[in-house]
Amino acid sequence: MYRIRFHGRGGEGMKTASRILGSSFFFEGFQVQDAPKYGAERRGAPVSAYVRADHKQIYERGEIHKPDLIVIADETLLHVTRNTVLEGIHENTVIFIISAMSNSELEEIINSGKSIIKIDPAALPENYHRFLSPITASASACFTGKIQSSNLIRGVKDELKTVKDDLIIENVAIAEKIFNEMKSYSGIVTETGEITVLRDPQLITLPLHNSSIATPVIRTVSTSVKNQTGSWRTARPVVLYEKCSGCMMCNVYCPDSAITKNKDGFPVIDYNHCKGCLICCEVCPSGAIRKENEKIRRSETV
Amino acid sequence: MSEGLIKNIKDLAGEHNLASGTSICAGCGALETVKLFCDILGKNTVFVNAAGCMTLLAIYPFTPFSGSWLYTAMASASAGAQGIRDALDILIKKGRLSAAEDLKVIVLTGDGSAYGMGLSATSAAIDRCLDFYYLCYNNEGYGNTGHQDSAATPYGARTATSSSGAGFIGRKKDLFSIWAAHKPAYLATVIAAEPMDFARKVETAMKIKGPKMFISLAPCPTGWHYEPHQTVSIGKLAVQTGIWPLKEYKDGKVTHTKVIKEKLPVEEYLKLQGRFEHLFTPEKNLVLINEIQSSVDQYWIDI
Ligand SMILES: Cc1ncc(C[n+]2csc(CCOP(=O)(O)OP(=O)(O)O)c2C)c(N)n1
Ligand code: SF4
Ligand code: SF4
Ligand code: SF4
Ligand SMILES: [Mg+2]
Repeated sequence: MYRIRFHGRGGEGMKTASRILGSSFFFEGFQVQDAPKYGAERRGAPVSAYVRADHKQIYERGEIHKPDLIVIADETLLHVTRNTVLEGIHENTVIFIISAMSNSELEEIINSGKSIIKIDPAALPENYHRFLSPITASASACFTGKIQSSNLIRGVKDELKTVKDDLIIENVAIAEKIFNEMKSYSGIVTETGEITVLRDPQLITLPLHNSSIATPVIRTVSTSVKNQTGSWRTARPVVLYEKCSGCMMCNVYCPDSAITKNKDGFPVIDYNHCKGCLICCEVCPSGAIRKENEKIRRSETV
Repeated sequence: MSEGLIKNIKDLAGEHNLASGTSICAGCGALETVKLFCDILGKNTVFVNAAGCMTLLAIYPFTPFSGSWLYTAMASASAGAQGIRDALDILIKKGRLSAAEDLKVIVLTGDGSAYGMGLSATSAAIDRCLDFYYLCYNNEGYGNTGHQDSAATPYGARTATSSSGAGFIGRKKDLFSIWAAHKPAYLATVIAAEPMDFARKVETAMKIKGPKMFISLAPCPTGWHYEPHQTVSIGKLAVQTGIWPLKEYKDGKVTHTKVIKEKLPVEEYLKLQGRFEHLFTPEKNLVLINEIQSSVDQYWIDI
């Protein structure tokens, strides 16, 4: 069975990628499971999706803990949810990542001794962010060596059938391009047989409570601050204090209450919670908030 | 947040009553609305929240609220508010809660609930002169389930259930007039992108007993398909193009609180949003754009 796990951020198209790959396997005659892992997370939050494909009926369920291929659409995830992204690497796991980092940098960060296949965004169209689904799905399809390009294209078209024709054409074109460019890796991802249950479930018997105490009740206010939504950020607002007038527009318009006021009346961005929407940059009348690339700064904080 | 009257925008700055760390999308206009509302209203609150995006605010064991919060089904938030109001009144009457500790009861729902499923329960609550606030954050669709169209979806917008052709063929329901016909104590349209207008209206409502109703247009990057940083700009354009009239109903009279002398063309608002992209590409659909423009023009002629 092939077990393939996609990692990205909400809005980057990993659910669609898993569906394209799943459909492509299906058209090739495989039994398939494809599903996103759902939480309450929204656009920008780390998300994952997975595909299982086999010639036999698939009885395995749930998340993939021992992937044959890990797809990482957003390299910043290596800093924020590294353990989740790299979970369950085994002897033959292949890692595929879209990253501008050098191979040695990547090897140092991933540190798994596994083969890493990389596409540099510089080699992709400038608006590649809009096409992460066909890019990652077609690369994955190619790596298995089991999917013909015709069935990949069918998968892309099938999944995107509700969008505009010219957008489908663009998606198909980029899928074909990546599929061809990755040809030298055809067959690098291999199947793994049955995985025996890793550990027995620990069942605990809960006593029967009456409904007044069985209903979830939160007894403290403002507990949400425990969630470090700063990890959602792909871009970072930085206050340039020499330009800042202290007008506090940024503080008023930030939807996430992620800007506080220091004792001198100037704004301080709470990077543990700022989601990087950049509304503050847009509303600042003095141009005193600069947008920075999160990747460059990520190592310094969080 | 300063205590007392809000005179300028700085009075809305500082510490906020809605905490960070929620699971809501980056750049969410609805979250901005709720945050502003909490800041103006204060901490002694209980929110009664019908299923929708904002129910993700409080996911056990996390809550951003400084007060209480209760989850209800989509159709019954206003009925839930009645129960809470009654309970508070009984506690005060029995001396188990001092009047100073009284809580403001706020129904918080999306447009799917306010314009559709919850309308009946809300109608009944206004009939009973329930002393409560209703805050509808209107993202013009069933956001939480993937942005299907609702009775608040504008004509021509694409949604998950009107994803092709000319987009949504329905005409946005006029909930303001429907609620106004019930003669509530107070009713207003607001938008977080105009915080001073918003603050003045909430402060007006705070002095009044009875049903106090708010409809806030809430730009939604996820459902409207635009970049999150544009939420405030798009909100301001909704007002400047005349698409989202800011008004209030009080003592039987409707007043427009921000009359734009030189309205911008609706195009300025529409073209920033992916849900209207089909009006501009592959070629400009002037018929549809003009139709939207003339319905806005007609509104402002009629008032
Ligand atoms: C009776 C009922 N039908 C359907 C649902 C599923 N549901 C949950 S949230 C939601 C969307 C609500 O839309 P809206 O009120 O506009 O709030 P938004 O999600 O846009 O914030 C739906 C349909 C439900 N919870 N209850
Ligand atoms: S980018 Fe700015 S407005 Fe957005 S969450 Fe961060 S601090 Fe707030
Ligand atoms: S909006 Fe700009 S000028 Fe005003 S306080 Fe924020 S950073 Fe400073
Ligand atoms: S879908 Fe829209 S309204 Fe819902 S949380 Fe996201 S941005 Fe806000
Ligand atoms: Mg809605």
